[in-house]
Amino acid sequence: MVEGPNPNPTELLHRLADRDASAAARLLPVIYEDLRGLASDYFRRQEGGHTLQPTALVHEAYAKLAGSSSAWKDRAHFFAVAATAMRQILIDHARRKQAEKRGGDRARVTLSNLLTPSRGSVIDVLALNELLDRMEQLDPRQHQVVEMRFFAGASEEEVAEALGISRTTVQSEWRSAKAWLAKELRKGDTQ
Amino acid sequence: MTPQQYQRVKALFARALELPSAERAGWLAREAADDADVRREVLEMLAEERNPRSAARQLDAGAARMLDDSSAMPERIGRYRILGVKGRGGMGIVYEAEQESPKRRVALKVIKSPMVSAQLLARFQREAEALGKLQHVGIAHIYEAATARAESGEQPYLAMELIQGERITAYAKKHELSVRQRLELVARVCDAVQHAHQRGIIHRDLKPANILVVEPDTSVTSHVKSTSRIADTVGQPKILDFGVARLTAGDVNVATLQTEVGQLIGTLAYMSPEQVAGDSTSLDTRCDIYALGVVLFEVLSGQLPHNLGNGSIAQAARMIQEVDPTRLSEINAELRGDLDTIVAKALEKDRAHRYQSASELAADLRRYLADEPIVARPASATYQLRKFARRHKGLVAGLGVACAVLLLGAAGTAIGLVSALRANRELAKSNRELAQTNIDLRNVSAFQSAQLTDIDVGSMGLRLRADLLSAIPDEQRKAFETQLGAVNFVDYARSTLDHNIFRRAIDTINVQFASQPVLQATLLQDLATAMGELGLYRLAQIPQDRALYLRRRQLGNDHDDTIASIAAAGVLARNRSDFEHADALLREALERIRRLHGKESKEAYVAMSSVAANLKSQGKLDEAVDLAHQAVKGLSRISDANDIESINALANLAGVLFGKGEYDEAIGIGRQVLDAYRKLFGADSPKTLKAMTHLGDFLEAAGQYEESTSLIRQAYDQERRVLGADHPDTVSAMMELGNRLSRQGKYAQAEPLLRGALGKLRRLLGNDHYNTLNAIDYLASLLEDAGRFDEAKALFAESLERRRRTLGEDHPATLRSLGNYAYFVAAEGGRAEAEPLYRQTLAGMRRVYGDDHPHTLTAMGNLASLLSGMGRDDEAEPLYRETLAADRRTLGNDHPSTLNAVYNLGDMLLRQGKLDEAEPLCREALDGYERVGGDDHIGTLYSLTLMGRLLAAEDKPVEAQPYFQQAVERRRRVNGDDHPQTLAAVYGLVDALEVQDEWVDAEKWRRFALDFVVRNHPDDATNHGGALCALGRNLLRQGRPADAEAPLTEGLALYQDTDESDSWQRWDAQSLLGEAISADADRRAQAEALLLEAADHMAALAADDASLTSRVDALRSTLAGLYEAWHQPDQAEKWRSAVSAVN
Repeated sequence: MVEGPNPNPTELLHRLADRDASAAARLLPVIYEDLRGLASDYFRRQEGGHTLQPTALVHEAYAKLAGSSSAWKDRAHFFAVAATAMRQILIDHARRKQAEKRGGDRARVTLSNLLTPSRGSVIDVLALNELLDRMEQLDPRQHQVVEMRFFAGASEEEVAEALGISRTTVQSEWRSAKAWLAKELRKGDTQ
Repeated sequence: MTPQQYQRVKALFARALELPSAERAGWLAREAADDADVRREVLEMLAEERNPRSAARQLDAGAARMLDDSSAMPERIGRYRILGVKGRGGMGIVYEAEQESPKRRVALKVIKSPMVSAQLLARFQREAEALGKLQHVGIAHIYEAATARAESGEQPYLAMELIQGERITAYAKKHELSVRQRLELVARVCDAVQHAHQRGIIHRDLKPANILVVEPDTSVTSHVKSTSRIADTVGQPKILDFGVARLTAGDVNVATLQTEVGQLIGTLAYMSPEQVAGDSTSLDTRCDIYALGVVLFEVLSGQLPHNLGNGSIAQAARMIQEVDPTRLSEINAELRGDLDTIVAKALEKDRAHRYQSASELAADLRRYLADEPIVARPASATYQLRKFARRHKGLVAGLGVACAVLLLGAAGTAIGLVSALRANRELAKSNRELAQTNIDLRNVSAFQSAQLTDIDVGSMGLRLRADLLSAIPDEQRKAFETQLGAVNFVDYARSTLDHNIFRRAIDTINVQFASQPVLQATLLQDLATAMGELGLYRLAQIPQDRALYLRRRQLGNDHDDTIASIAAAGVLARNRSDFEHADALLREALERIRRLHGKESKEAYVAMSSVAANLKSQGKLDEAVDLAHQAVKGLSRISDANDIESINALANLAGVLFGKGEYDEAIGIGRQVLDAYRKLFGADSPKTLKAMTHLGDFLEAAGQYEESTSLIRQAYDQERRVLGADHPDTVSAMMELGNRLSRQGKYAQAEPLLRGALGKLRRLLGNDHYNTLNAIDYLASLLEDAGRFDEAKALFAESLERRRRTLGEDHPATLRSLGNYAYFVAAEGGRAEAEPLYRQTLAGMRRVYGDDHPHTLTAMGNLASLLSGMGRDDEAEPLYRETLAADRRTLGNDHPSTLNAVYNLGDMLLRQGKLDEAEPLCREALDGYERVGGDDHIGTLYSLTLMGRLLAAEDKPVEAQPYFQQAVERRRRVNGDDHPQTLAAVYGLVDALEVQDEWVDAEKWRRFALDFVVRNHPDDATNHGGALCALGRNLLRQGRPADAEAPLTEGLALYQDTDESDSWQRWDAQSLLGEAISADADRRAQAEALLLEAADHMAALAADDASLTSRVDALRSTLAGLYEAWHQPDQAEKWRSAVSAVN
């Protein structure tokens, strides 16, 4: 028989798989808190190249919540929720950083990439955030695909599972999303 | 842009991509002629697709790679101005920076070190100084090692020569270098390595990523004169990160493990066998030689000497240690001969056989280039054999545990535990200095506990097996596989967790976090919970106690975390059968929760449900039911019926009702709970299986065997697969299955299950645990039913004694034990001994369970049986009737207990001769048992014999016979030829046959009975004598007096020696003997004497016992007949008239 006074969010996780909207709503704050806690530590370590790996964070948060029964489908749905949380965290942080800058122009808070040399292009997180908001108005499903892929590092299968679409659809959504976002970012640059 | 327009844009974009790019613009112009905005969007997107520098590529990498959170990059670090990020490695971030004086570009490597202490910094400085002395054209020079002020403390960094070059392997490929050129390149690398070795610095992480080649610069002069002009046309290799590995905490093994697993395998490829074995303290320069060998191999052939592919780390490690590298010549025939030899020597597994210095290797390379003979010798045949015979210990020691751990977690989460487990002393020390830095406690806790809770034992076991197999040399694998087949790796995984991970984890946590009690407590609690879930209750007590203690002390008693620990401790106590203690803890938790969260809170009701479950274990059933109901009602008021808490509370309620004997209710709720669990967790989840087992319990108690057995079987199979054979839930299921099979008479199937379960329980939970004791009882019952009384008795006695000792006299379980034991004592024949035990049991049951409870009724029925068996039917009868009436009332007519009562009463009435009353009951018993229990059910077997006896008593031997026949057949089959009940059935049959004068058919059974007695009761003279005489009578009545004589004589002799010497049986036997002899004319006198004596004594006995009159009369008639035959009419007449008046 099961005892214990602490409610277990694992059960909420399983409900996510049934696309229970109320479960998602209830789980989001839990995930958010966890991620935020995990992230804040990384953020506190400033210069010196300590880096935040959002995917790793999301994985950790998931592992912590999922307990010993972690079906990958649960993970997929978890990522859908976690991606939103993660995005919020990154944006919050970026805004805070921006506010801290004394005077001057808006600083670019960047996402840099291992593969390209530092002189190459970087992505302005706040600009991306605004674009995503616009995308949500135009195409909510594509917006979700981008959130999950970008902020939670979800695989194509996981996205497909979470959103109830085929993998090919995920691929084409992602492809066109990238193209659109990239060209909008470029336009933002030159303006 | 509107959403509709956007959808159109997407669709057009997708279709345009399918066209050749030249056609796209035209096509688009036609398709979207009506909307310029849409056209423009699509065109812009298509342009991005074509643009190699599009941000789309960054998007692909996603936020997953990294977020450089600080205000982009710092502007300066020390005296260096940061220009950009050059790259990231396992050790930290590398910036491109500019130094002011001298003005030059440098690479600034900021070391990522989670714990930075004064000592570490000091060491860092010293090491950097040593590195600074490395001055070689082939080594990236270190200009400065210093620290920068940062929020988290001092941040060490290295300023190094900025190398703009390509990896050596890529360089060689890109420039299509010839073999000779490649060799020259590697030789230069060796030179540089030699330089460092001479200054006592080992690289330890040589690989192409660390060897960059810069374009030849005519202003640079090579330090080594070469006879070949090739040297001047080849670039200059520069080695990076020399000795840097030592500057980070721990050795390169830990550092490289901080990267993802895939990358780890990449690095492994260059690690020498001794490095891979994990013993970093004895590493020397020769590990670099090995790495050089690998690099040489790769530069020459484009491949690695071992194909480490997609295997696990253990497989990769094993390959490096055991498997010979591919020969260069196999890849490229051009490379055969001396090059093969050189490479092989560098790649020797035994470092004593490698080149002992980098310069030796370089020298042989240059000799080859100069077409001079090389020094290295190819391996001889004997040498090869020696290599094969080399023994390497199974799984790689140092990485073994790391393997297990890395297998479990996702990349990135393995770090904490791995480094903890490989507790390098320095690491441990600097970890303690964590207190000085501001690390977020929760972060550390999160990934450590993630490690601990996300353990899937089943697949871990399977992977361990696979890894273990792969670590075994090919030659022996087949043999091992069969042996391994017998090992359950899930069990092994559990015990591995126990020994390797949990114990170490406990120690590590206590040591590392001694100065951070709150964090320590969190980790310990997580650990205790995880261990509890895996069934390691005894072991879990240690971290549990400590966690609770720490939390009470640090957080106070009314903190949520402390309360959580209190409750967890209560649960653990309950799992360990310490119910009193559990009660105290769970109630405390409940109280505090109520105070903290209010009485109407979900937490409070959940806690209440826990208390109720524990009360049930304590036997306080009424209280338990009450609380359980309250909890369920409370939760239904404040939360959703489908919430897991509500379901759990329901499950607890069902369990409590079951304990109280309210089976129907319990079953109804149990079904609800099972459905809910299935929906919430899936059919395979341990929780669902547990619910299945519980429902099976309820059904069994209510007599619904079919469904019950099928459920239990399912649960057992799945639990065995998912949880492992040692998990308490699996063992429970095993036991229950065995129990049910036993009750169905399938002893052969049941016994191994019960014995197996008992063995495990003794081992896992200890001898006093209530589960173990239940298992003892089940096994004992089985043995008893199978007629193995001595074994059964010993077990019953054990369980009673243990219960008395641990639970006390009045505990329901002790009472049950008492009842069982008493029953057994009685069955063995110690009726007088058993009576007080039974009375005790009954009284206790009435006290604890009330008058109508099944346990009470069982006790009542048992006492009644006993009394009846002692001939005190008058005392027994009211008890039987009460039992039966109560059973009918509470359990219904088809319940085995009711049938049992029916049987008992019928049997008693039969013995009392109240045949009319007895008959309907006997029929009911038999019909009922056959229907409910099946043909071989113990009750059915008894009932068959009962019916036979009834009919025999009714003087219907013809009708009785088939019943006895059936009984005998089935008893023989189910209980064997040596079971007393088999004999009882045989007696019934033989009597029925003989009454019908079927002497010949009966003879076989007389012989059977005789054999039985001889075999099973060799010292029982009475029974032996009786069996002999019975056989004798049979033979006599068949008209074979000569055959009858021997058994009769023997039997009579036996009688004479016993207390039976004056019983009617004896005289009856004597008269039979007399009859037998009388056929022999020569012994008439003897016969007469025997008969007369017998008649005399018989008459005397008959005077006191009217039932013997008929026998005496028969004897008199026999005598009369004999005298007639002997022509002595007056004697004949005398005896004829002595026969009493007609019956």
